[in-house]
Amino acid sequence: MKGEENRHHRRWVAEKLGPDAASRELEFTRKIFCLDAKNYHAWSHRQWVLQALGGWEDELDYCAQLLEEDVFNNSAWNQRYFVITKSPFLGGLRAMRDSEVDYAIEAIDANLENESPWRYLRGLNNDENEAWLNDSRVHSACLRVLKAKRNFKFALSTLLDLLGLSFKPNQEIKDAITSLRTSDSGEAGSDSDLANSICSILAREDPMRANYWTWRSSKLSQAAEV
Amino acid sequence: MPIGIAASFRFAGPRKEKKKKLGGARMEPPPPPPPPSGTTVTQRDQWTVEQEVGRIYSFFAQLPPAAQSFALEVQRDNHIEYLTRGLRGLAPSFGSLDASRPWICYWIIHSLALLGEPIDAELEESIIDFLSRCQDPSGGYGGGPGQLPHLATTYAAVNSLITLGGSRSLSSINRDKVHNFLRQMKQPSGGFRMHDGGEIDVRACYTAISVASTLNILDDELAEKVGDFILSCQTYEGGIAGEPGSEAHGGYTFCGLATMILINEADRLDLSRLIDWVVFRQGVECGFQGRVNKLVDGCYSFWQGGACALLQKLHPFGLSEGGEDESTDSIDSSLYAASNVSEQEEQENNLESASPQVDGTCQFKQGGPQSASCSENTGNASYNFHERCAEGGSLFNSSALQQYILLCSQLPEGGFRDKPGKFRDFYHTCYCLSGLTVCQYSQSKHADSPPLPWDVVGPYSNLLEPIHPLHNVVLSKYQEANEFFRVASGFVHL
Repeated sequence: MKGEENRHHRRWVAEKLGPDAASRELEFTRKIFCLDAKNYHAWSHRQWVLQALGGWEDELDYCAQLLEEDVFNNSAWNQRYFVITKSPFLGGLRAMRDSEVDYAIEAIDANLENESPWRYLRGLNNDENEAWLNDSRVHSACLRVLKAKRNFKFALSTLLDLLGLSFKPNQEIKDAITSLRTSDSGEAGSDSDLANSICSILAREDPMRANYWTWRSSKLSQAAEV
Repeated sequence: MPIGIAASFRFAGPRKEKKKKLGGARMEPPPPPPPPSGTTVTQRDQWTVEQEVGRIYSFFAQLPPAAQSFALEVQRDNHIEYLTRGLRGLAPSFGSLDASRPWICYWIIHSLALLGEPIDAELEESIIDFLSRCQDPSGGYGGGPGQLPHLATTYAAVNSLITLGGSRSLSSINRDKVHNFLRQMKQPSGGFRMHDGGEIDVRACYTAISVASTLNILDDELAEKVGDFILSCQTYEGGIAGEPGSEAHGGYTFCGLATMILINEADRLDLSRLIDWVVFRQGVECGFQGRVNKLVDGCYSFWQGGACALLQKLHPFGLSEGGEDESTDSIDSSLYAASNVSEQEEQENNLESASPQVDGTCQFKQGGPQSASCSENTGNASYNFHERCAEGGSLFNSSALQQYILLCSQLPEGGFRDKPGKFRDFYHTCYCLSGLTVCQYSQSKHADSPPLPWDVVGPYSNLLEPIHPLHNVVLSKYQEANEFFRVASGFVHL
């Protein structure tokens, strides 16, 4: 088992807890999750067990099982991210990204309003923007949501982020955004107009965050001036 | 004052409510309809809360204006009675083994201070005595006399004593010993352990650094690599977790962000991701949730609302007029700038100098170069931070949050709760009130000018005392303590 831990400490712990320690501790947290699938300290402990004692082999499946039961369980999504990045059996984020993008998009399509897979999807790119910018699956997913004309705030927010990374949307996406505008502030010509359009749509559709979208918009014009 | 959000709040309950008595007894609503089938636990729990909250808002919406005004009042007298009884109730048990009494002290004392209510002298004395006896001979405060010192109880005790104020209270803190304790809890990784053999997490970092800052004992040794640890706790979601790998969480997000600001490393965080995560934590109920897809809870009014308030003051995107970034060099030079008030105001508006290190209180220093230890510098990070002004309104929806706090968390008979259906407690009373004051002051354009009437939901008499946003201590008390501990460090007033 590979890991960053001080080998001495790990050996000490394993000796103290005995050879069945990993499966016993994992089972213990699993029981807690049956009652409270988001228990913060139990998830912390589970992560510690995995890193200190192992047991990674079934963890991705366990996450999938929890998400099958409740796709809104953000703790399970967080654990999934932990597993794909840290498990010695899976090859790391880059190796896993492709299949995980599919997984996240499938979850999005099932429940457009579910914030967890949207954040997970964004987290998958991990600041490696090229892959993110060029992944047509992401663009198509956003487009699908826009065309459905409901629960589209995360789709618009994602597109706004992409535009900030110099994403060049196709005409279909531009039209889908434009069709969500109610006020007539002219044609969405340049991309910065598009970004501003998105901000004003969001200020309208997501009034709780009106100030935030206004501020995002002002950031855009600041960036444009530089 | 109309509350548009109440009107737009979506809920599936009946649209017409029977007329209720003005300010009368709390009605018992009929049980909510069951959630739709084929839903997950998250959806069902969320549905239930939305029903309860929706019921409250729709009832409110159909009240006549006078009754609405009453419903939005902070029930000061009842809160004060609840809190004072709680404090007196603690006193006889000050000898027992409960480890959380310093916390309960802080929650109650801070709440009373927010309400502007002084504590009677005798009670104050017994609290100071009690907390003094919680001090470990080698430093730090435990949960009770003879208990091992713990960072959280140290934070609670110190904040309580600062809130009580006065030289007896403040001089009861043995700063050197606290410093020793903090150094013992410091880990090679940069983080802090809560207590001997305890967990290392972001909350431990915050309690340690906050205490060090308020006591003016924050030095390079304590601050070293704390930033690295906290950075490793920012998750893919954008928020901050308790430990690396854990889920982004409101409490830890506040702690992590406040700590980074105190050590002047906030710009190392991915602030745009952090802001995006935090603002989305405010839901349709108008209050804040602690994590994605979890339920609203009044205490997050402070943890998340307070984090937003901090973020507003950071101007994180280097939007300075000259396009320069906020390098350390440009910061240091402004430390020696003249300190008259008008320049300070100008500095506040000049984003380049809007950094934690700008010291608007230069008049309190000996003239000339910095000869003090780093603690003087890093102490300034805290001292002036509250003076920074947010630009253009609050990042979060301040009036909606106030609405949740006043209508859903506040109990007319005194105290505040997590959400409808839960019981009141001192923790929620403390953090709902703390969240409320954050809201009230979130749109102040100038540090010294009071909030405008429309920034305060309900009657203007709802206005609470302002806090120091990094330490969650009433500002005037913080300033008194800051003076006291500067003098204690040997700095002379001019």
